[in-house]
Parts: sequence; C-alpha cells; structure tokens
Amino acid sequence: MLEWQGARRIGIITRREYLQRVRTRSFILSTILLPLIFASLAWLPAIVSEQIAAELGAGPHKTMRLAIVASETGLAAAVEAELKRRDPGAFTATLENNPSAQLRADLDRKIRARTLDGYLWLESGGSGVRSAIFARRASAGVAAARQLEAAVWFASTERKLAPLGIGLDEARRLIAPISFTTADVIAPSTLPIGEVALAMVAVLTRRMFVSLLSYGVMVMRAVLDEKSSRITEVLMCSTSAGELMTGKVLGIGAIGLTQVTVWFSIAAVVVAANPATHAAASSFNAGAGAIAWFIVFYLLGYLLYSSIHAAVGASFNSTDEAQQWTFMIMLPLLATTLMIEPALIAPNSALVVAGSIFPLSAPVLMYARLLVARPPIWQIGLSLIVLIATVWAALSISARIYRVGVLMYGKRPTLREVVRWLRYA
Amino acid sequence: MPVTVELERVRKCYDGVVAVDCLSMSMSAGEIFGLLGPNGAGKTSTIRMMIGITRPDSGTIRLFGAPLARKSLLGAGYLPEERGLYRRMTVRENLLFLGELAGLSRARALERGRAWTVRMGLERWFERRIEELSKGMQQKVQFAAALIHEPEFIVMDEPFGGLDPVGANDLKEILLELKAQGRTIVLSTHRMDQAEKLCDSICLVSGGRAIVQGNLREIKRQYGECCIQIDYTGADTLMAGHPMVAARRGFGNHLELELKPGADPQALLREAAAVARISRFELMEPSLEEIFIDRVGRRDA
Repeated sequence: MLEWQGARRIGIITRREYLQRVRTRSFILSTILLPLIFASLAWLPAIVSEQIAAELGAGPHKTMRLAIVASETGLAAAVEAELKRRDPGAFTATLENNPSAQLRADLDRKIRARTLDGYLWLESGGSGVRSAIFARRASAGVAAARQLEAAVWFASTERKLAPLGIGLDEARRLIAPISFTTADVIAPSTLPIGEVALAMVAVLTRRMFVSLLSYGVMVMRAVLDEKSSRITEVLMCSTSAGELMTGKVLGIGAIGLTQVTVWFSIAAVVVAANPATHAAASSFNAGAGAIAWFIVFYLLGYLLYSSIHAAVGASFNSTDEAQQWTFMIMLPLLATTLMIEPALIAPNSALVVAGSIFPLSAPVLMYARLLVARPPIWQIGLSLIVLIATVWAALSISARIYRVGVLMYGKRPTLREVVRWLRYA
Repeated sequence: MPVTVELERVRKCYDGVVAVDCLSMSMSAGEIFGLLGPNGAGKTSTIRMMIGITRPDSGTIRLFGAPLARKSLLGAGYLPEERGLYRRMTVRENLLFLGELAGLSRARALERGRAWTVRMGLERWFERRIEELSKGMQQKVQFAAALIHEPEFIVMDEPFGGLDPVGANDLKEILLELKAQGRTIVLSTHRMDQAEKLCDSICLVSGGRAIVQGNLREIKRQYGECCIQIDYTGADTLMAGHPMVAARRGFGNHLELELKPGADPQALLREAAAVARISRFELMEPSLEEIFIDRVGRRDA
C-alpha cells in the first residue's frame, strides 16, 4: 500500500516536471520548429542545384538538344542510335557530316543563343574515332558527358569490329561490361560508408552528446530552482527526497525522450524523401537498430549525468556557485566529443574501444561504434554492464547528497562536507 | 486532550554544531503551541524533525501516538518560513499539485483548492501565475497549500510575515477556527506579541535547548507574581523600605513594586490599604517579550 503511495507521488512529480516543460514556448520551438528549419536547410542545396540545372537547360528531366558532327560516313548516325538505345528521351540530335570552322562557329552561336544545349565534335583517324569534343553550355551535367562518352566509344568500337565480320549484336555481346562486385568471406568489422552516411552518423552521435549534456543541466537547474524558491521544504513534508529526485529525473528524462522522438520522426521523413540520404542511410546501421541503441544509451547516459547534476544542484545555492562543478562534469563529455571523429573513422582502434567501455564516454562512443562498425558482443556487453553499475552507484550516492543538500542553505559547502553528508541518516 | 506530537530528548547536529539538544515537548489536540526563540535557536531544525523532513540523531518523536512514519505525515501540514511555490505555475496548478502530493485525489484537490482560494478572497487569481501575485497574496496561497488536505497537525513557521494587518487578522481567525475544530497548531515565531495573543502553551528555545516551557498562563503567573502596580492617594513614602519589597519606583500617586521571592501580595495589599486610599492594585504579569529577553539574555550573559 505504502509502496503504491510512493509510486503515485513519483508519478505526480514526474507529471508536473514533464507538463510544465512541454507546454513552454521554448520547448515547442526547439522541438518542432528548429528541426524543420534544419530540414529545409538540408533541402536547400538540392532545390538550388535543380533550379540552376533548369536554368541551364540541362535539368535531369529535360531533353538535351544536341548536334553530332562527324565527317566519317554513318558515324554520327551510329552514335545517335546508341544514345537512343541507352535513353530514348534524353537527347534529340541533329546530324552534321561537313565539319568546318564556319559550322563550329554557327553551333557555338546557337549554344549562346540557347537554341542548342551542346554538340559532339568527332574526328576520325585511320581506325575509327580518334578524338571527341563535347562542347556545351557550362555545367550542363556530368551525367550527360559520361553518357555521350560511352555512346561514342560503343559506336566507334562496333564500326571497327564490323569489317572483321562481327555483326552489331555479336559486337555488343563481346564488349558488354562485366558485372564486378565484392563478397566478404569474413564479415568486415567496419561498414562500407559513404560521405553522406558518415555525416549523418556524426549528426546522430553529436545529438547523443548534446542530449546528455543539456538534459543533465536541466535537472540541475530544476533542483536549484526548487531549492532557491524553498519549495523543496514544502514538498519534503509530503514526499521523501528520494521520491522527489526520482520524479524530477524521470520527468526531465521523458522530456528528452519526447524531443528526440520528434526529431527522429522529422529526420526519418526528410531522409526518406531525399534519394541521396535515403541511399546513404541504408549503408550504415540506420533504422530501428540505430534508434533502439540511441534510446538505450541515451537513457543510461542520461541517468548517469542527470543524477550527478542533481547532486551538484542540491549542494549549492545558485548556478554561479555550481558552475565550477558543472564544468568538471562537462569535461569527460567534452573529451568525448574530441573522440567522435576518430571513432567514426577508426571505430576499432584501442583508444576508441577503451572510450566506448569507460562509462562516462560509453553512451556516445559505443553508440558511434554501433553505427559504423560491428563491435564484438563482449565489448557491447562489457560497456553496458559497466555503465549500468556506474548509473546505480551514481544514483545512490547522488540521492544521499541530494537528501541533505536540498535543505542546506547559506554557505557553499566544501567537498569534504559533501562527502560527510553521505554518512548522514 | 490526546497528545498529537511528542518529542523526547531529541538531538540533532549538523557538522559538529549542535542545532537541537535534549529537547522534550508535547502538543495536544485543540491547542496552539508557540515554539519561540531567537534566530538560530533551533526552531526550524525542530520543526523539520517534527514533520519528518530530517531525522533526529537521537531521541524519539511520536506523531499521533506512533513513531514518525510517512503515512502518518499525511496528517501534517507545513507552512515554511520562506515561501515555497512554483512561481511559473498558476494558483490552481500549485494547489492541485501540492494537494495531490499530500494524498488527495485530483478532483478533491481541485475542489479543496478552489474552496480555500475563495476563503482567502483570491478567487479572481485562481488561474493566475504565482509571480503575478503580491507577497501577501502569495502568502495566502501558501497558507491554503498547507491546509488543503485538512491536516490534524499544522506547523506554521512565521505565518504572519508579509501580511498586512487585515490579512494577519484573517489568518488569526482561521487559526482559532482550526483550533476550535480540535486541530493541533504549532506556531514558530519570534514575534512575541502574536504568540502571546494566540498560544495556549509555549516552549522557549535558545541554543537548541528548552529554557521555559509549559502553559502560557502558568508561566506568566510564575513570573508575574512578584510585580505589583498601585494607584493610590496618600504619602509618597508608601511601602518604602518594606521587608517584602525588592525594588520600588514611585511616580507620585502611582507606584511600581517588585517583590522579594515568597512575598505575599495579599498581605501587602492589606498593609497598604491600612495607610493609604487604594484606587487600583494590580498583580502585573510580565509580557512574553520581557520573559523572553530576561531568559535569553540571562542565558547569554
């Protein structure tokens, strides 16, 4: 019965902490508006480059108006046929077989006048095409150039093979590209990750770091606020210090979880909507795994840092007094941020492995490793066990300091005094 | 009357400094008990132990006849000296939260909170944030918060601070009403005039120890019997050099006498009436303030 009453009180305290914060303008702003702004910023480059491409007349969905100039009989037609075979809608070609300085000047003028997007200037030697120039309006697309190069090479090679009695289909079969892939016999410990994916992993990992720090500090502020407004005394009349601290930590932890959930949802939509990021996301351990691990390490890391912050908040009378100590708490986290970059590049290096097991940096570094590599099970297990044990120790020590500290006003306590509080009844 | 709270040889130290030492006292239902003393005497430390915020190092505290337990503490209400409310929350939210925490259901907390707000004349402020309220209004909300769960045992630390005379009078009426309902009220204050008017019993603490305690009237009688004021018509030398008089101050027809221990005022009255015409003869009770200054001063000397 009494146990239930205690749980009920923790619930009431948690609910107040949560609702009071969720309703504030700053929470709504930072939770919904901020990521939307960031998401739209991420879209901006894509939108801009599409605009530029459209302006240049060579956007991805536009047909390129092309002239193919070759003196060799039938070559221009062969190149055109090859282009049509590859992508019927991509090009419309006009064929020219009398190359001259006059013609070239004419074509250049047409490009400038935007009635033409580009031309292929093919020169033949003894055996087929010797050189090809793709003249175009600036930045008319790398993809188009590659397509053209391949088409020219194919058409030219086919024509070289024809005198040897090899037909068109036979020639195509002979020079068909080989499908070349790699297969790993021993599963690699690092995932093959591109630059976009790496950037996304870095964002996730940094998010973990920022969450741990900001919600920890939030707990400290909440404790200091209650202490300086003396409401702690009123509360402790009907609830215990342990219940009070638990409710506070849970309420603010739930705030963090809410914020992270909203962010992840927005991020998922943005990532899925953009083909480049969507492809990148599937190259690392994204999806349910990444989110599940985030929540596990966020919760453990949050419990660790928030309980330390609660103890610091309870020991002092103002944020100013607590500053020196908050900096001390921040130090391991700051050191951890320096290791995020190495952790993503070399997730199995000795220092990173050690950092991913050390409890103060484990939430960030082990999470980073889980995203970009496949750490051995024993390392994951050890990291979790050490972290859980540390969380338990931090919670019980902090609860003791909290219990005494919240009722101590006046002078700033020394470390020795705080240690003595641990022994109080 | 049944005993509500009982402290027995309670001791509490903080970092080697004795805050409360060997303190015993008891409070009964239907009584207003004054816990008096100078600043730093150990009043707040004593209160904190009474309502279970801290535990004594030694000694026992019994509440409602049983050792202190969280469950019985639901029957206690506490008004701290410094106001403790969430400034960013409305009056309603504060009362609802504190009421629920004190064991009321949500609906009951809301109902009681509203009733107290009306009683305090704050109904217009029910949906306003605490920070928008004046100091006196905040004090009234704090008061409502301490009483919302209808506690049998009420502890008020300097309840009159920040209240104007009208507010103080309202509060006094409520306290007397609660007393009439048979509740036990502990009033901690250094305002002796307030304590004198309200308290049935007192405990005067200084340096963590009880110096004087018991029924207020009896304490006053003990102190008061040795002081007499006489208005009379007759010789200026009335009672001069009398063996029962320790000190004499004459002001024409008004005389103030301090008697020696064991002196009988009745005998003195008879003697005075024999030589002069007495228009007033009064046994003076010293004010609580005088007792306070006398005892605390004597201890410090």
